[in-house]
Amino acid sequence: MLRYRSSSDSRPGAERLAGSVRGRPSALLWLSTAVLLAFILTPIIAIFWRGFGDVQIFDRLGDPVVRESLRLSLVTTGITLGVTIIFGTPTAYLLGRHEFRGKAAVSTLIDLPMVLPPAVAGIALLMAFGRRGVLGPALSDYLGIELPFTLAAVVIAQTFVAMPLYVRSARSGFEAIDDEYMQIAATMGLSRPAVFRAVTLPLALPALVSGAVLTWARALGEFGATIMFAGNFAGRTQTMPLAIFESLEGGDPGASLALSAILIIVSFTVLIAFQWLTRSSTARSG
Amino acid sequence: MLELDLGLRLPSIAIDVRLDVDDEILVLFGPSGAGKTLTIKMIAGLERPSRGRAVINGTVVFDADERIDRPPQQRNTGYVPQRSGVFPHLTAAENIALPLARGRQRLTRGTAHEQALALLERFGLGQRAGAYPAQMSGGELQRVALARVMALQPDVLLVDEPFAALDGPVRAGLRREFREFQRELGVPAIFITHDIEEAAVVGDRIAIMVAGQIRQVGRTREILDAPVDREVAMLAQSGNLFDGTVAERGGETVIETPVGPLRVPQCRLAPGSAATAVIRPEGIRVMREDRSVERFANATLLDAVIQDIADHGSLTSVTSTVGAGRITVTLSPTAASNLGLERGKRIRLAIPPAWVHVIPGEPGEGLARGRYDGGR
Repeated sequence: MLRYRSSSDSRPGAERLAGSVRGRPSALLWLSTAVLLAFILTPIIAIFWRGFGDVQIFDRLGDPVVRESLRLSLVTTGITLGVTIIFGTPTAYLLGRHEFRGKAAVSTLIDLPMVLPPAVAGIALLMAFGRRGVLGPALSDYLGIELPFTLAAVVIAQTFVAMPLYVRSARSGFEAIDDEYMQIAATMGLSRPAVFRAVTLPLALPALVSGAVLTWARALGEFGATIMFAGNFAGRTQTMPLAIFESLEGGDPGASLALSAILIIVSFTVLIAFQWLTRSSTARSG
Repeated sequence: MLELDLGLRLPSIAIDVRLDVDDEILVLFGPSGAGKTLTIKMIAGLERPSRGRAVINGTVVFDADERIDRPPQQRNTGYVPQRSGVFPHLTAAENIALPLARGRQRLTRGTAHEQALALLERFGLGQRAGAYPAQMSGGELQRVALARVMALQPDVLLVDEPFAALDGPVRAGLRREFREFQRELGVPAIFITHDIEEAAVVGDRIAIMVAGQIRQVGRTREILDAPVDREVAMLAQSGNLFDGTVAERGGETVIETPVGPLRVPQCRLAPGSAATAVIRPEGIRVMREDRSVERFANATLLDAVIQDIADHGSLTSVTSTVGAGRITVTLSPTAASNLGLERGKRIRLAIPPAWVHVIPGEPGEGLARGRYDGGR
C-alpha cells in the first residue's frame, strides 16, 4: 500500500519473515512458476512475433484506422482522467478523512462499477442517457444534448468504469495520513486550504498518482461499456480496443496487431511506473 | 503566563484541570491514559473542552460561558506531538520554512528559508538542512521539531513526551537543550512525561495527573518528599512505602509497620488509625551494626541484612530486609565502600523522624500495592 510511515515505525514482521524462511525453494515451486510465466509470456511474444513476421506492424502504424483510434483513445482517456480527478478527489477526501452516516453505503456504491460487467455498465448507461433512456429525451429536448454515439459517450463509459480505481487509491492515501500532521500545521497558523495544499495533498500524492495511473490504464483498455453505449464509429467513438476488434473481424490482423503492440508497451510502462511510484513513496518515508 | 481551568467529559475519561503556569517548565506527569495529551490538545485548540476557560498570555482563547473558542490557527501555541510531527515529505529546512512562509508571519520564501537555515545551524543541524525525515535519527528529528517551534515564537510551549523514543545519552542532551530553549523563549511550557526521572530533570514544577485529575502540583522536591497520597507516592517513586497503624509508645507517636515501629514527626493522627509512611532512600543513614548511635538520638534504629547492592554511578542503592519488610537506601559510593557493604552483611539503619512523611488513610485503592523497587 501507499503509506507514509513514521520513521520510528520499524517492521519487525518483515524481519521475522525473512529470518524464518530459509533453505532453497523446491523444484516444484520453480516448475509451477515457470508454467505460469510461460502462459503469460507466450501470447505477448506471439503478438510481436506475428507483428514483426508477416505483417510488419511498423508499416501499419501510419494506417488511418490506427492513427485515428490512437488519437481518439488519447483524447478520451485524457478527458476521463481529468473528470475523474476533479470529481474523485473531493469524494476520496470526504471518505478518507471524515465519518458520516451512510459512509459504508456511499463507499460500496462507488466501488460498484468496478465489479459490474462492462457490458452491463454500457446497457445501464444506455438506459439512463440513451435516446429512449430515462434522462435521454430530457437531455435532447431541453438542452439539445445527444449523448449516445459521441465522443462524450466514450468519456462517460470510461469514467463510469474506471473512476472507482482512482477514488479507492486516493481515499486510502488520505486515510493513511496521521491526523497529527494536519493538527500541527493548524497550530502553526496554516489556514485549512493551506494545510490541504502544503501537507495533506503532498502526503497523499503518491496514492493519487498511482490511482490516476490505474484509472487511465483501465480507461485505455475499456471496450464493453464503450461499444454498448457509444457504439463503434471510426473517428468518432472507435478507440483502440474497438479498432482492434473491428480490424480483426474485418480480416485485417495487421492493424489490430499494431494497435495491440502499442497497448502492450503502454501497459508495461504503466505497470513499471506504478511500481516505481509505490516504491519511491515508501522509500522516502522509511 | 498561562491560566487554565478546563473540563472535558468523554465516555472514556473525565478531565478537570486547574493550573497556572508562569514562564517556567511545568511537567505534566502521570500514567498513560491519565488525560495528559488531551489536556494540552485542549490548550492548542485541537480538542474542544466541555467547560471552563483558558487564557494564554492575557488572551482568552477559550471560554465556555462567553462562547469563545479560538481555532488552533489563532492561539499561537508551540505544539510538539509525541512523534515529533516533522512532515515526512519536506526536508529539515522546508519543515521550518513552511510555517514561516504560510503561517502567521507570512515571510517571503527567501527570508523563510534563510531563517530556517539559521535555526538549524543553532540546533547543530546545519549539515542536515537538505535531509528528509526518513534519513534522520530520532534525536535529529526532535531537534528539527524544536527548531520549528522556536521559529514560530509561540506564546506557550506544549510538548508531548518528546524524548520517549530516544536512547539515554541523546535524551540527556536534549533535556538540557530543552531547558535552555525554554529559558530563551521565555514562555510557559507544559512538558508531558511518564518518566519521573525526566520529570525531575526537566521540570521547574511537576503536576501529577491521575485519571483526568491533577492530584498534586509542586516543586520536584515537594512531590518527592511530601506526596499527598499513596498513589502519588508510588507514581513519583517517592521512596520506601510502609503501610501501618498509628500507635502510642512511651508518650511518642509511632507507626507500626512490617519493618517495626517508626518514629514520626509531630502527628495529629489518632492511635489506631491507618497510615502510610514514606521514607526517601537518601534520608536513611547506614551504619555498621556495632556502631554507637548517639548522633541519631531520636531516630528509629533498625537492624537489617543486605539483600542486594546496585551501583548507579554517582549513587549506590542498597536493598536490605528488616523484619517482614524491605528498605532501600541510597548513599554515595565512597560511603558504601568505607562501610564495606556486601550482600548478606548485617547493618544498622537510622531513620530520622524528619525524613518520614506520613500519609493518613487506608492504603490501596487505584494502584496495585507494591514495594519501592530500588533506586533511581
